Amino acid sequence: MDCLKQLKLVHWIGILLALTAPLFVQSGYLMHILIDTGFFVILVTGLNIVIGYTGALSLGQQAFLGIGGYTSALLMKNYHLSYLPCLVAAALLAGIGGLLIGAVCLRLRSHYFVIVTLAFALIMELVCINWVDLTGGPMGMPGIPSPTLYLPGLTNFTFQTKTHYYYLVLVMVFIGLYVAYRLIHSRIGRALIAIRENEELAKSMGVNAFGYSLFAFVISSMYAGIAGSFQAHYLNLVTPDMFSFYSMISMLLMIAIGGKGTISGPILGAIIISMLPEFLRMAETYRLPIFGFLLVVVTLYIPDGIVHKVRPISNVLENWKMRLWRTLSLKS
Amino acid sequence: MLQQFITHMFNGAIIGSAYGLMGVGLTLIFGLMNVVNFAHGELYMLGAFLVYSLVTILQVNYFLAILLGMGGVLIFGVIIERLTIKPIRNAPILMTALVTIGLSIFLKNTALVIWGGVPKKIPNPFPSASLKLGYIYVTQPRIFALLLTIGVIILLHYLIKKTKLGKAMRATFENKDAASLMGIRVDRIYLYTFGIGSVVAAMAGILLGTIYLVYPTMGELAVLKAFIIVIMGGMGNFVGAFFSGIILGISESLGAGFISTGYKDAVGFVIVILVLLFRPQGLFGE
Amino acid sequence: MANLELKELTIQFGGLVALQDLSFHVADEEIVALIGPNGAGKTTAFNIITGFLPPTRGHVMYSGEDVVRLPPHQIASKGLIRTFQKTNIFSSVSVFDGVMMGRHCRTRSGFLKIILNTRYVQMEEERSKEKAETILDFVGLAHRRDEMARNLSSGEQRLLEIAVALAGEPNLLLLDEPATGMNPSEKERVMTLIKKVRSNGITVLLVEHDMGLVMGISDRIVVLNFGKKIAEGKPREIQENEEVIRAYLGGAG
Repeated sequence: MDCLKQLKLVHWIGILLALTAPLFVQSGYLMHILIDTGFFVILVTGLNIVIGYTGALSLGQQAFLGIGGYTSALLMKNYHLSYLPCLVAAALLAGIGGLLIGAVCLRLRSHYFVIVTLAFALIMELVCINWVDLTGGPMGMPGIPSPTLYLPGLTNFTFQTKTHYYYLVLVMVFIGLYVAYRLIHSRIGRALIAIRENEELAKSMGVNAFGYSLFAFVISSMYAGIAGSFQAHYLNLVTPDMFSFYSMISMLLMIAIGGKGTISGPILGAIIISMLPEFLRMAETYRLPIFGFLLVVVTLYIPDGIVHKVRPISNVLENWKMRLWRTLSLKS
Repeated sequence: MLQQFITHMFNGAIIGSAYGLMGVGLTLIFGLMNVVNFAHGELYMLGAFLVYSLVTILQVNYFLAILLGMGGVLIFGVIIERLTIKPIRNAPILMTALVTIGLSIFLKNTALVIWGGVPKKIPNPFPSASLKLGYIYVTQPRIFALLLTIGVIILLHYLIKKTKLGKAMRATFENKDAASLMGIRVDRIYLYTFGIGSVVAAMAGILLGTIYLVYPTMGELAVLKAFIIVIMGGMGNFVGAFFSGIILGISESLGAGFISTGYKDAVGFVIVILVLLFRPQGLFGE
Repeated sequence: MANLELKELTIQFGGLVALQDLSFHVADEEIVALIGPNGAGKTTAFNIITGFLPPTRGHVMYSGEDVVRLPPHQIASKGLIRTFQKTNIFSSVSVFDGVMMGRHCRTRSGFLKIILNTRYVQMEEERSKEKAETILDFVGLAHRRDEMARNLSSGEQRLLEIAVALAGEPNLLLLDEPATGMNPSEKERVMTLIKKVRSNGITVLLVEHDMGLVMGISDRIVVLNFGKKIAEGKPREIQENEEVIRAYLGGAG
């Protein structure tokens, strides 16, 4: 696997920590934060494909989060399917939503694109709140079953403890990051970056700008659908809050702080934004004003995100590793 | 039935005219300067809260409070423009959007901390009795709001079309490089435009706060509707924005009255999507 | 195998006729220059040929196929690639990455194959990288391969533009004022480069103001003035053509 060779020491440390976390994290509350972080990593990795790589500011990602969550919840609750089909359905329906909404919005210039994606998301939120027969209205639907892994003859396993959920989301995170990595380091990724950097030039080189932007939008919406499905069965509850702008604010902040246009950036951003309030023991009331303030400051003064500041440290560690490798191989 | 219809229409029109005022302020900032200012609703909210505090805590006269409130928001707008908008004027729209969203979140939630979430009423000198005009009952604050709105729009129209400043503004928005070569201080123009836009937003907030209630998140929906109105009106068209506001207000009112109140806010969103798809220059644009 | 034929290309903006019944052809492996005073309609013609502007009337026949009104990206995939009058590059990526982006229309890997990282995908990537290196050598920018595009001098950026266009393996290359912003030695380089491009089997149509360059490399010249073709022929004929001389001396530009 050539992509494994690309991973630096910092990445391996991160992977190791991620895999072994439940061993040294005892508090259920802290586990919840880790799981929440994983959920956001999936969400923002998807969103970053549109915002960071294609360069289009979509404010509608939460719509697909909600579509994924409600689809998965309704299917499992009403038809008693096992988790995998529900997950796939959630991704598909979210993707279809992305296709329809993207086809409309991506024709518009960037100023209008921002507003219209938001408009669609708000319409969906209202539909969710008002279509009580389908969605349970403002109170949402409690009692969503936990995910089950049903492989006939092999296993019928229900995810129950926080550790179970943690590893489930971790698997999703790894797959999501892998797909994103492959996508970005390919001709498709280059096409998206070309669209972001200079759309006119991209077209003259043979890039179907609308087609590829739409593709990115659909992929991004499917990531959101998957994240939504996970959350629905993790919390055993879906509410119209999934459609609210609040999650979009978090996503924007994560991408802005972490660093758009990179794969590690959103991961870093998700970790910081999810864990920061806990470490600072912040009162809920002050969390939002600080988020807002941070967003302003980061956008103005650290526009490329923290990931670029971390790079030197990563390189230093990398050099140590190289030297260590060399000394070890010289010895043998 | 007819009375209901007319009442809905009229109330819708009044609300619409307040939307129109919001839209007019944003026409300057978004329609002409092309700044996607998500914090516009918070300027609107601040105007209302400033007046509320002045009247209730400092016992200032209502009309004086309006002037002071507008002045306060003007100062605020200037600070915001200098600190956060100016540095990223030429950056991609993503930056401006992120900054103004951040500003909006910050202001909204700080207001929540300062004033609390319970909606407040601005004490005003208008008698609470309604006037009867033909079929309809209308309260005096609403008439006041309507008159003030029309006045402001006429003033702005005059400013843009007839004054030297207005000419300089139009030149800058059409081609800022050419304008600056002609000696226009483009930087100043942007500052003034943002300032005027903020003040107009503050006034809209004050008027609506007087008619209804004041609460920290009052700017949220208002700003979205303002964006919708600016787009409907044809990006930079004051009169268009005003009439689009009225159309929106009436559509919402009729929708809420005859279809369902829950989807009332969706009306505007659906309209803007349709407009952008089928008549992107706006209902009133060329 | 690329030949281009414009048939009665006309475009009107309101009352202004920017191009009037423009017809000319470019034969396989020719170098043809499109010249004329400022505002004659040369870049407009380019924009129509490459799909950025729909004409009011007329046809653009490319290798026998009418490509008029096709979207730019489709025209590029057919082998008709252009550069722009104002330097147009991807400023925030490296020179090498920029050229790799130009490979897009000659690569085929789809999403699924990319995710699975099949051998086809890997092979295509390798081929693209080799091609990109070759092209950078060809235009003489190999020593700048890791530099960010915006840090190049303006002359180097123009060369980069040509490199990116070549990465798409065009059959017909349209160069819009390639020598703008270049000093004499850079212009020499461009002239040699264009001749090299043609000897690799690529047909070239260029718009250019620098007469030295035009006379030095063109097989034929087409002259436009106020949207109309006023002359067509070999460089020597054009130099001696009275109407052409009048157009340049009398008109704007």
